[in-house]
Amino acid sequence: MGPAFLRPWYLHALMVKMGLRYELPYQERLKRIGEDLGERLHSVGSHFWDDQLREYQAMPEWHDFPGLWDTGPEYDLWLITCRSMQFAWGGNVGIPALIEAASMAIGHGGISLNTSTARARGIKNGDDIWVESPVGRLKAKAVVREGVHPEVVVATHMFGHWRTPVAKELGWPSMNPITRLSYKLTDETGGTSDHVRVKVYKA
Amino acid sequence: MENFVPPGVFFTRVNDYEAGTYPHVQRHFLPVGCMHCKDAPCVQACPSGASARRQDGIVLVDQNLCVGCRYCMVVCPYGARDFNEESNAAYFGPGPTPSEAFGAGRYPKGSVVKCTFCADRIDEAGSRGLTPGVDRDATPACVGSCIAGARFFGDLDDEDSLVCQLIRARGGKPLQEELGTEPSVYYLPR
Repeated sequence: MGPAFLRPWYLHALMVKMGLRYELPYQERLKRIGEDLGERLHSVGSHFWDDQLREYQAMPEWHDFPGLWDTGPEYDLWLITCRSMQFAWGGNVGIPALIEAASMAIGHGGISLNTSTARARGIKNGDDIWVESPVGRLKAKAVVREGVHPEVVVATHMFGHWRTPVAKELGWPSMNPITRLSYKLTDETGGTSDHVRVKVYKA
Repeated sequence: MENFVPPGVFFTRVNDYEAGTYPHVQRHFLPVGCMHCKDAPCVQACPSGASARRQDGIVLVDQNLCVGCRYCMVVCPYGARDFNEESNAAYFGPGPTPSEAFGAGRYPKGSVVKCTFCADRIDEAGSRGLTPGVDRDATPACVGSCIAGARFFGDLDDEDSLVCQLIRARGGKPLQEELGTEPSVYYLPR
């Protein structure tokens, strides 16, 4: 526990103090919203969202989203994406002082891959690599580390920035150029599946 | 920013590293800045007297006396000092933002810069009736802004202070104690 003046910042402590509880996993509210949305869409003859409407459930069902990628054994890795913790959802990635701070974070500015994955491909830390999906490929610096699943590679720069001042000049690798939007991979909240099948090789 | 630190200059660097082998891997963060050593090599190496240790233990660089020789950077075992290459360096360039302009001139071109423990806040504490380490405005900004509450500040000479209690209770130790510089910054094990 930090200094006294910091303690009210903690949401959990505040929730306990106010007698609030965390949301339960059973979300009937979500089910009701889905039914209401479905009625409104169907009343105007719109059915484009029907797949997603089935996902408005009080208890979520498991779907094999990775199974939707039928790309064959050639693409043997998953590319996922994240951000350095300094960048809250990427909206502040145009602040140079935060870019400096983020540059100290492991994996920042490159593509992270597991040591064994890199070794099997003759890749060393700092090497230029190609990350290729069925849609396209991107070039990046390899960040070889242990804290990544051997079947996964990680782009820390999320989806890139092409208009944001400062950020658009950074050139950090992002998933955006090598994936495409798909309704099949879009959930009922509009979230998309942030992973893509790739192969990785030395540039 | 609190101290108008120019681009490329850090009061604190956070070492982000992993330990172990997959799948048993842990990620660690080790912030390192000026340790405000009792037997500070930088003070001994400084030919101009710019680097000096105050009576309260804070080691400061007098920016008006610093000649930019960088001997202190060479002898600091913690790499806690940076050299300010530009006089009016601005993050958004070419000119300073209004905020940067407000702090312009604090660090002259060609001088060495490091953590001050936000000494101006400490110095004003008495006249404002505040206690460093207890009152936010009299405590280094990094302590107040750490979202994890991982940083603490206080008087090491006061055995009843929070920092002394934490060091005793959790076995806090300075980094690289064996170098004998007697750092004033302690790290608390998990």
